[in-house]
Amino acid sequence: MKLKVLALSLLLSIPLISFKLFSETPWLDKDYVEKRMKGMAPVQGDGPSQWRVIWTEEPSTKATISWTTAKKGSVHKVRYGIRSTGPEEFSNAQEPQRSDAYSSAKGEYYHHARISGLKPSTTYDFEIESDGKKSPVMHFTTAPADDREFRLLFGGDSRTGIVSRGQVNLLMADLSEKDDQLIAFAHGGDYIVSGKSWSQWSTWLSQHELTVAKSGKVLPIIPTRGNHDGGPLYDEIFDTPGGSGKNYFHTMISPKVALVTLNSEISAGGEQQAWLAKTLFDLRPKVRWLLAEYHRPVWPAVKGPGKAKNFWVPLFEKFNLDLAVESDGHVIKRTVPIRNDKKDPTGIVYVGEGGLGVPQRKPKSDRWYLQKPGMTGAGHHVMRVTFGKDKMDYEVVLLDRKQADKHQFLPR
Amino acid sequence: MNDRFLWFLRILIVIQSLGYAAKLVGPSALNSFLLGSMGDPFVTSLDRSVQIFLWFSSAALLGLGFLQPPARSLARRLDFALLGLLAGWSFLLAIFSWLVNPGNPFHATDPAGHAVRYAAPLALILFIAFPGREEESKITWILRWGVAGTFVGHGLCALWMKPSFIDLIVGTMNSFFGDPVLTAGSLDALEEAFAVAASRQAFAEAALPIIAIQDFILVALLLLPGKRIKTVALWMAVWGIVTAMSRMTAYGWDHWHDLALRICNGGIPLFLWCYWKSLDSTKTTS
Repeated sequence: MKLKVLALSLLLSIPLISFKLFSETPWLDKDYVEKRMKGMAPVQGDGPSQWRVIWTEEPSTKATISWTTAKKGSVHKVRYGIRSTGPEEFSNAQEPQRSDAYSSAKGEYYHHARISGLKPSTTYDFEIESDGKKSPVMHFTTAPADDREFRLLFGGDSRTGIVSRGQVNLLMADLSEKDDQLIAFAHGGDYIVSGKSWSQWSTWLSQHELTVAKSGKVLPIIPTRGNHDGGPLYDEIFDTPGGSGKNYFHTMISPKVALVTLNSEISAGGEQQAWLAKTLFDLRPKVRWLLAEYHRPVWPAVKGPGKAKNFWVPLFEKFNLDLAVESDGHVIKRTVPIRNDKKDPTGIVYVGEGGLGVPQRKPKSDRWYLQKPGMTGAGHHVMRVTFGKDKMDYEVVLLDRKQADKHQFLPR
Repeated sequence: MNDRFLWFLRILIVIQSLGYAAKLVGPSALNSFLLGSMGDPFVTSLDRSVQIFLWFSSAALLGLGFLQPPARSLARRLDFALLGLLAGWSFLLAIFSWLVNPGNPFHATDPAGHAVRYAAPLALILFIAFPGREEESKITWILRWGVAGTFVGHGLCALWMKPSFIDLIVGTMNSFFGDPVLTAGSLDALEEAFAVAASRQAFAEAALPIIAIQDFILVALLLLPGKRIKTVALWMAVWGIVTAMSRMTAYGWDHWHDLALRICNGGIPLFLWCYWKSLDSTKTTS
């Protein structure tokens, strides 16, 4: 009798435990993700879809709002204004400065409305309108012009694992919803398998909608080009960040925080290396936290080191970079601080390496630079970095919101 | 065929095999292709098994070369099987390198660009299996086509300005003449370093199309029917070795496996040059 009661109560408790578990992390249920994916704005008719906000160089005053329409259309605009407590008021409007057909698409068009003159640390509501059809009202917050604390998400490699990608996107939306200090997301590249495939990009773009929080909060994206992102579509989707043929730039996220985005898919030496030297020379005395992001790891946890190692690492060390964010390996890693090819407390820490949906690998944790106090692991994840006055907190958040790794950096 | 030539070819293949084995410290293209469907434990074990096989093959091929087993013996069959598997691995990697990077024009050239790597073991099997002079002449055409494929593949990459080729030239120049970007300590020095870096990149970008044209001309001359132009083979040998060496001159000695992997790029043209030279001297003597 007692056994029966025990079995019955166990049976009853399973749905309760599941409910509790999934109510906080519903994206762990793949049916939920597929249901949410069915609700994404379709790329059809005249209306806008696949919306995104892009940050490149001056995110405290500028942003690019971009979207897709199924055909060329005739009247496109973004209406935006400072968020108020009352009904939405859009004091400004901007027509896209750049619109054209996506390469190799079936007539779909991209539109980039570059808006400027924004106020720092200010939340803006915006609504996209194409031929009378409107997007939902969404909002984003501009980067600060003062030394306040804020957070960024980092992650890379969303190229395969469509459902897993949806799961990570929903996690990001959830992290963003609950955190006003979280202001943007830097993607480390390899969005899709084939950079020339519009259908793959289209799926990625539609799924990017899942990163929008239920309140309508959009995390602006800071893009990096990966080895799978070759071809013209990358520039068409992200409005040619850093310039055509380059795709490297630096983002002053605040007066004290700079992110240098490099392109490991073009020549790492020559002009890019010289640009990096000049940029780091200029930024290092000004900022407290100096970060670099690029796709191919120079201190990899799985593969051999990227060819950029010889060109970039000496500069990272010369200018005392605070953190380098890498992708490509499909694992979780944090190296020991490295200088002159040795563990050195004054050295550079490299983190990554991509878990926005791709199948995960087993890291080669026997490599010297991944030994403790470094770490390795595997699992779909995002990295969250908090930039404070006295410290920079780094953590890795897994799909179930558990923390896979954390580390604290002090100003140099 | 003269034993010395068979040894020459065998050593090239062994060095290439060692290069492939060392390269498997990271995941292979086959690993990347199968990762999604088979999972990491399977693909990692696959790579590890191939790596062990390659180490074993390298040693076994040397041993079998010394033994010179008779035709149809078990040892000879093992020799052929190892060479066949090496050719198969080189070919598979070239194909999967292309498949896992869809839309990437540089990787699309890999099946051609790696041709000499799988042509060499095949040719060695055939040289041993069909030792007649007439057959030798036909078999060398496999090598000629292999070299042609490699030069066409690399020529196309040069023509399309493969970024890593630019880095090889810039990195080599930095190694020989110093990298002013790394030593600049002031803004003025950085400006100067920027100019030097830009000029080195411009030089590389100007040189690559010329290199591409050179590669295509060499291929055309190598494939001329009824002709064996030794100078062309020698030129290709020097160029193949120089470009394979550039992995080390640009990135350091720890990139030895990148040279080992590409040893046939210059080694096979050198083999052809030596072989043709021996044919000419035989003709003169007779």
